[in-house]
Amino acid sequence: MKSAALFVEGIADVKFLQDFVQYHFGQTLQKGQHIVDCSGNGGLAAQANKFTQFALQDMTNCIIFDSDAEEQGTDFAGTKARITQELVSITEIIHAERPDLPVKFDVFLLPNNAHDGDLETLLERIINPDNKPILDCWNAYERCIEQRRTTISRTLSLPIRKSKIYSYMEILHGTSKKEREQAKEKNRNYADKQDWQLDHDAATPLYNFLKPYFDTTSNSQTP
Amino acid sequence: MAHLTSFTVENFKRFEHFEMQNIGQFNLIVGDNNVGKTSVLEALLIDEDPEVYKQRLLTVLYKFRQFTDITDSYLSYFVYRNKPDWESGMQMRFMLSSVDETKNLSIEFKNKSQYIRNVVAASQFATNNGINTIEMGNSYFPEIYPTPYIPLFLAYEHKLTKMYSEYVGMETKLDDELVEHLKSIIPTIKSIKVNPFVTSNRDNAPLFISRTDTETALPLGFFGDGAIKLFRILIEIAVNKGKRLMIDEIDAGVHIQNFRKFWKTIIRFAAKLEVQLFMTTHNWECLQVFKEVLEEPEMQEFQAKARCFTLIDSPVTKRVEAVCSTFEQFETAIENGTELRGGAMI
Repeated sequence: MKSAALFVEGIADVKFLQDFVQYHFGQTLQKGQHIVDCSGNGGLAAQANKFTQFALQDMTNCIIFDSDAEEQGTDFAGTKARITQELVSITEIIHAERPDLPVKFDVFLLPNNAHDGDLETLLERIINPDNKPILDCWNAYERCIEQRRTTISRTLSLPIRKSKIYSYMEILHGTSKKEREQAKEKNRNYADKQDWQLDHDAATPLYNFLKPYFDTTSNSQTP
Repeated sequence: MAHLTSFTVENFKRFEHFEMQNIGQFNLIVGDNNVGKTSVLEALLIDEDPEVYKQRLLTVLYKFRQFTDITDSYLSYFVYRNKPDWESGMQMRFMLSSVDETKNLSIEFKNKSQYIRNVVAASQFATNNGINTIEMGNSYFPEIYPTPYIPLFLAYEHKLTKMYSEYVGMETKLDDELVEHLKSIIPTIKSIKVNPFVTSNRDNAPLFISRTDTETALPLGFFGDGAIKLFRILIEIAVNKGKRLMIDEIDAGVHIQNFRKFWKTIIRFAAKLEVQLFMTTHNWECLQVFKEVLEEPEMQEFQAKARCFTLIDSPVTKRVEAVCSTFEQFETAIENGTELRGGAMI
């Protein structure tokens, strides 16, 4: 097994990956210690100190970001190229002070390291199929608004995918204030099989990416 | 003395080679237990005069590390961690860089017998020149006073009154500055006085605080451990004007609600007197408030001078490494709950 720290883009990603790694590999990722939230000012460049720290600890810095899509002004290839270039620049900065330090990066772009999308794209694909009617209704709601777009004078943001996931959770866990808390990104339990299927085929690329780092039975070598 | 911008030490304690780059004026040092944070502070006691440095180390060993005697084995362990060739002339090496220059120093700290020889000569010099000595069994060595180092437990004891009297009390302007900065924790403070009724051993006489809202002066100890701690730090900043000061576990004994006042006061006073600070801590709230204080509009000018160094015992380089975080990196890490203090990984 190799050793890795994960760098992600927000609290939703932190909680999802904590649950995902715990579910599949039985490892507990502590926020801030093993999984770093890069949201906020500076992006990846602001993490140069952490990349250095993990490199000194012989760990791979695993970047798990969204591929994004056209509506964000980019796509899988564009995001991959941007991140790769950023990491080259960051490595140069690290090597200016520590020229001999091996700095290892590995990048996975959600949902599957191949196509446009993000965490919500993956989440939509791995919901428990028993609950699919909830998302069908939401999709119909979005289509309805889309058809009436011209009748509304203000700019609309469609699709509203974060809200879709939140709504999916709130509908299933919304009978009390305490239960509604579970719909929030930081409180979700992705290991709850009534809501999610972490074994779903759509999550296999992510599983295969993480396996060498967190599966204690794995003897995988550095790519 | 110009402030350090980078620092390297070799053959000292656990460090075969240790370096800090991009040092600021206000430097926090964090890391796992026993990674070497306090040893870094001890290495930073380096002085251009090797005898001064050796005696500072001995002061730390005897007074602050609480060794009851200085024997060959203690010295061997304390300075060289029992490396086998320490008696055959192993040298501690230092490289100190400031904006203006880089200095290389080599210091040989052999064994007790050589040290004793030096001490005898130095102690005669001390006696002739009225320098203080530290007694150790039947021997003694001149105390390099004051040592620019505040250990974890130090509060009222160890010459606080003496330092105040000799370095601050006689300088009206500096005394006024000190009183002004102490208002953060004793808002009505008017002046500081050494207890006039103690006529002998006035170096250890209690300090009294006069206030504007009462006729009665009260001993410093009355204002609690926090006030004493801040008082000592401010006194030592005043004593080390223009130089550097090392503070171990700066948060020890400070209540979380006082961190904000502490940081503001310490940073402002050190900035005013151009003192470079190296401070260890394990305390997350202490780091968090350090960041928040530097975000306040009147404190933002100090952001560019702040650093946080995380010490890592690296399995890759096989040595302790100092990873520097600038204020912006430090700020991002604190806001996102990213651990800067090292610790075990998976």
